[in-house]
Amino acid sequence: MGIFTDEFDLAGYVEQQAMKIDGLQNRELFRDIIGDMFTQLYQHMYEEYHGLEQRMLAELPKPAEMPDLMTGLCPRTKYDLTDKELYPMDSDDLRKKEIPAADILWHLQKGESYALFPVFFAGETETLQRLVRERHTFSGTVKTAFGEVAATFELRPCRRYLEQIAALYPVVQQNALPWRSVLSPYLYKFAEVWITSLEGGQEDMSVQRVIIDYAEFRDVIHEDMVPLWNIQPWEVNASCYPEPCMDKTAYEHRLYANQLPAGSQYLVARSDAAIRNLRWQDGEFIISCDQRVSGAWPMLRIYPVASREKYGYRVYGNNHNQSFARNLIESYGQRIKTRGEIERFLRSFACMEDFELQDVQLRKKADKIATYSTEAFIDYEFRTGSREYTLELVFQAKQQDYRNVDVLSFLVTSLQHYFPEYTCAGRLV
Amino acid sequence: MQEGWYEMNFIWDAALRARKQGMRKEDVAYVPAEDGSPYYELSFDYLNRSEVGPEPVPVNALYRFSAIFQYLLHPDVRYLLEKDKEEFIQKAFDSLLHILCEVDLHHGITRQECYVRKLRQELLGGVFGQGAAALTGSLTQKEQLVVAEELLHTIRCGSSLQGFGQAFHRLFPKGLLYQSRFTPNELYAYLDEPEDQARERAWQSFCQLFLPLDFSVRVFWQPHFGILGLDGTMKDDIALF
Repeated sequence: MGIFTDEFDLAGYVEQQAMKIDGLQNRELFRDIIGDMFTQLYQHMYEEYHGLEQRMLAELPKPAEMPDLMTGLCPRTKYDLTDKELYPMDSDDLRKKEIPAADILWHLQKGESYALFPVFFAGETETLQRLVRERHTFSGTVKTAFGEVAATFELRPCRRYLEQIAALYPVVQQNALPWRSVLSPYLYKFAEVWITSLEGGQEDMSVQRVIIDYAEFRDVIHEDMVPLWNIQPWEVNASCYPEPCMDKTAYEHRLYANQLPAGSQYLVARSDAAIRNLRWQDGEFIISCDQRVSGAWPMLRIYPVASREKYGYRVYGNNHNQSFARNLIESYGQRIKTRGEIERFLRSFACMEDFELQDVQLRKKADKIATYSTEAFIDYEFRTGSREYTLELVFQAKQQDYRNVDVLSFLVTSLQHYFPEYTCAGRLV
Repeated sequence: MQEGWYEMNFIWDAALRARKQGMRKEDVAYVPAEDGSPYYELSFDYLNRSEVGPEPVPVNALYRFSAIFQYLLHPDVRYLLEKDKEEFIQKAFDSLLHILCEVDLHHGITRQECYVRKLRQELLGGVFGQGAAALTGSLTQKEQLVVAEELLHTIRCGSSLQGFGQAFHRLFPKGLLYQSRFTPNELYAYLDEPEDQARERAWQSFCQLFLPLDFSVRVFWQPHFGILGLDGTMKDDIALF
């Protein structure tokens, strides 16, 4: 349905009227001239109207935004190296790591613990945080060539993947694109296993396996899991041309189209060069900066992801759909503080399909906040703690899922950008 | 201008009038006027006619479209040269006027109208949530366009009490909106219509779309609440709060 909703059906009308003409010659003439020629003319006219409609609507520019980031998860042995959608966040994760016994012993003898490997917790983020906070001890054994040695273990925060997300923030800024929070529920569910004690053990023993008894968490703690995202580091060689620009020289580094395959989006990775401007021109990417020497530019290639699920885990991302209303609202830039607008904003994200927004309330004090900020690394920009009101959002999940609160946290954090004057808080019922 | 008072002048007048009377575009037929006035496009028997009947609408097509029709409607053509094609000429005339009427009906399209209609489409499509889609879907097309128009106004100017009031008066024309003197962000809406489930839902969705977050509104359906000092409101059947 376009904007023209009651189009007159000329072809149908002609057919209906033709039968009312008694003279057969006249009827035929009517069908030939009006039915064929004028119906075509009429259709052409409407096509032009539709074209005009499209042009009027397209006049509103789509707001510039950073590429959609998608995240997934995969058991280490199952990752397909030919995957063209999702890549490991850390390619070292794909290798099975040696556990150096000497290092462990050295640290333990000094009374320190030693980080072994990350594990994935397929449960509520809050439960994992509690285990970490309470320093829950797990027992287990370390298997060596000489036999088994009893040991104790602890879960501690695993920040490295989240730090990779945080590291994107300055990259996006450098590319002069507005930041959008990233939906990465899996990354909040990673913890590092630390060995805290070992009963006996010798320096020259080689560790074959570490077996941990996760007790009641046996089913939810998975070892050897690899977080994935749709980003791949991408290096591109550029030629540099000095361009006079009024009263200065702009050094333009040209990245040719053949090195930047179409279909993906690209960001200039963090670089020391003082970048002044980035632009696309005829499929080429031009970086203007103060650096005279041409060379390779580190880029990030961001792949489009069509799969909703991969390697048995759902793919989550901050992707949202386009709507005319969104373009209109962004172009007028007015503040719309209505429940309907909140609904529209949240509904535009693909991940909102699993939820219903049940209630929105402005409160002096919120009770039972379930969500956390998915942008803790830029919290300082929101001046937390000085707001008078909390915007409390109550959601209903269509299905029970251990990732629900994480998805809501993303939605609420995204809304926080929209309502900086309120503390946005979400909870599930 | 009072509706149904002024005379019909143009073919699009007749088309819009027929639409209001519940007729489809296909139900209207046009015939060349026998003795049309050179000052009017429509040649009804009397000038003040305000309704389209089942009989064909007589049109003086030479009023605006003489360049198109001067050959087809020329008496020499109709009565001498192409006498045997009279049936064809009648039907072709009718079809061509239907096309010209479509062109007429798009004459006033502006960017505003385009935006409003696109917003209506997105409202119905659930871009603003299922509640808003259900509300819009339950309204007549005219009211749907009012919702979209007011929504566009909100998008242009931001949400405000003024905008809420304006949308309220357009969608609940019998209603009255009060604002509390002591707590200005408390509103009282008197709708003056019987409360039923469908209207209740419509009211909820309306508030979701237009009520600014920092306001609360209490709704009164049929009985008005009593206001001290206003005798008209202190009747037997009054709402209490």
